[in-house]
Amino acid sequence: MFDRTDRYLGIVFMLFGGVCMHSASKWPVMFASDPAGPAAIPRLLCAGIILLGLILTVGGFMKKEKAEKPLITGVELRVLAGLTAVCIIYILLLKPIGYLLATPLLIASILLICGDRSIKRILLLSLIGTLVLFLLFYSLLRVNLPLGFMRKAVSSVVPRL
Amino acid sequence: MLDSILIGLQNVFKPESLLLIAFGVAWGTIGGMIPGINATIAMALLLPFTYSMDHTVAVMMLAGVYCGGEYGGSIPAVLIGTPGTNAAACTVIDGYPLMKKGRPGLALYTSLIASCFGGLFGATVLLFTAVPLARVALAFGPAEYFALAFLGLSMVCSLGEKNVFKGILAGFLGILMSTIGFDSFTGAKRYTMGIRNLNNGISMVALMMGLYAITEMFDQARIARSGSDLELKVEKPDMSFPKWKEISRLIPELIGCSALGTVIGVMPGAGATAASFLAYTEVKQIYAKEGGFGEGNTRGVAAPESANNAVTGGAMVPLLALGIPGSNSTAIMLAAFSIHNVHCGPLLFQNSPEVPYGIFISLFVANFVMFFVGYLCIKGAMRIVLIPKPVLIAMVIALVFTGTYAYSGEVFSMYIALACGLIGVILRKFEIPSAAVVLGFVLGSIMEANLRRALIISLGSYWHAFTNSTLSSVLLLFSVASIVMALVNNIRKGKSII
Repeated sequence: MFDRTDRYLGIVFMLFGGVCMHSASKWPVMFASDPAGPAAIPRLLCAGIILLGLILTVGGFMKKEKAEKPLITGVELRVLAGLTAVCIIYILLLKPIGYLLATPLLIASILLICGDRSIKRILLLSLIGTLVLFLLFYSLLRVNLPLGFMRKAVSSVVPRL
Repeated sequence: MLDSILIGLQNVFKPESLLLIAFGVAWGTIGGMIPGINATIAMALLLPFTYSMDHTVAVMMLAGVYCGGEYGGSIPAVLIGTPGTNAAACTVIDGYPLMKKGRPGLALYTSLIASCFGGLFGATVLLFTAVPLARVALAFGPAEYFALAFLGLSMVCSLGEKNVFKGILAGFLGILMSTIGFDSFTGAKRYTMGIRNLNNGISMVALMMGLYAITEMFDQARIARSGSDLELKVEKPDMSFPKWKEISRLIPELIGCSALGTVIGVMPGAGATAASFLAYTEVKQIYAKEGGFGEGNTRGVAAPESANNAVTGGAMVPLLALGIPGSNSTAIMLAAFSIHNVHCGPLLFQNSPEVPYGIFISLFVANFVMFFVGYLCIKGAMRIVLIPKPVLIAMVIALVFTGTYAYSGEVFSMYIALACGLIGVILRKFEIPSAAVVLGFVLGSIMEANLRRALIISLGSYWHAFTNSTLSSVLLLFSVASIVMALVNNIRKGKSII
């Protein structure tokens, strides 16, 4: 039922529950007509999270056998960190440079992280993929995608249904 | 009533009506297939085109979009582990593992059959019991809504397969996430951390996209690079239509979940997402001995799909009989009625029977059409399984971010989706069920709002709030029994506490 790693998970959740509980204690009850107030349910949940965290911690400490494999390997961590970084950069760049430039960069970067090394294929896929998504959302579904500095040029060239 | 049904039949079986219903179903199915575009958005996109239409035909077409939209979300849920709509999030739990096992055909056709069955069931119930059902909806007050949501939440225990405490913890986390933003009663800001974009809370679309799609794609990329599955391609996927034996075993739960979906559809505010999760958790408990849930059990696909499509029939009840739109999709329909100066309510059945009965019959037609449209969509979409995984991962992540942005129009929601994706990766590592987080998130806000309403009515007495109503007392007793049963089962399975 429990793993050794649950001890760390339990401690994290106890801390998390404590912080959330502390935050909820600051919310005032504004109206006498609302007997529970905004903090009642969150406080109850935080108490539950602290209690469950405690159960996991105790259960984790009582488990003696070590796990067969590590929770995460170095390669896996690098892949996850790489993907996260690429996604954050994409979101940051989306408004300034626009969808049509940011999305091919996102697709190409993910393909590279996933181990694709064919430059020709990466270029082709990132451009075609972006174009398909753009036409679907911008032209067919009339979604105002961020176009950055290309807004005027794109809106005068690409028709919307 | 027979006269009214005949009038309805006359209205539906005209070339113009049939064509527009079929178009509506196809449009809705395609809309549902695109993450971030749900039935409501697909309907809203067509609303301007209804100005020049006959009002009955316009609403029949929108009913077709509604049916198609609720179904379409299950296709990407099965094929790429990304729910096209919120209601299809539950289908990912068993549909996607079936795809990974090389049986996408079984998962997709089960979902299609279950959706059509649920839709037809809801339409049948609606045809004969619309007005009495509307009275049932009115009998549900805050205490009953709270008890129903609590019953649903009690099911999180069964979602924690190996460790019941992790299931409950995930459920609590989901409810806590649903409290983020302005408190709807007092206006107090809760857990916004000074971030203005969090004032309106976390978008359900961003949460679902993150917890399901981004988590899955990050996980696939991790597996690909760690060398255990470089190609990550399904070996010779079985795309055949399931055998009668595989479908017939699902009939009892199709009936049960469709009935549940219809009842939840009748209740304003509950919605298809809550219906699909409730149906899934109920079926999982009933067939607990059979096992295999979360690993590709077809019951786990049929239950949510039949329930969320049965909601379409139920949701028409408060709209037509009481003039109350119970969901965003039915609110669009009400807008279509308003455009044409048609007033919903009990008098609609007397003064303009062609409208309600036309819609009822159109739901039947829409669900039959949906079978053929769905069949064609599946045939085309199944080619996705042949795409190399790196390409699929890159395209799905781009699609998820675009869909999340399309839904909210805010870049911030993309950060939420990414954060939820990373939370999902951590939850998966520690074997915490993310489905319980989603269930908590979906039902948490319903539960809290109705608890507080019930307390206001009972002047702060918790005891009176829930014991004054037999229905809420019974539902709460069921919830407690469900929690106790799950705890006992979990310990009895031989998984000792330590």
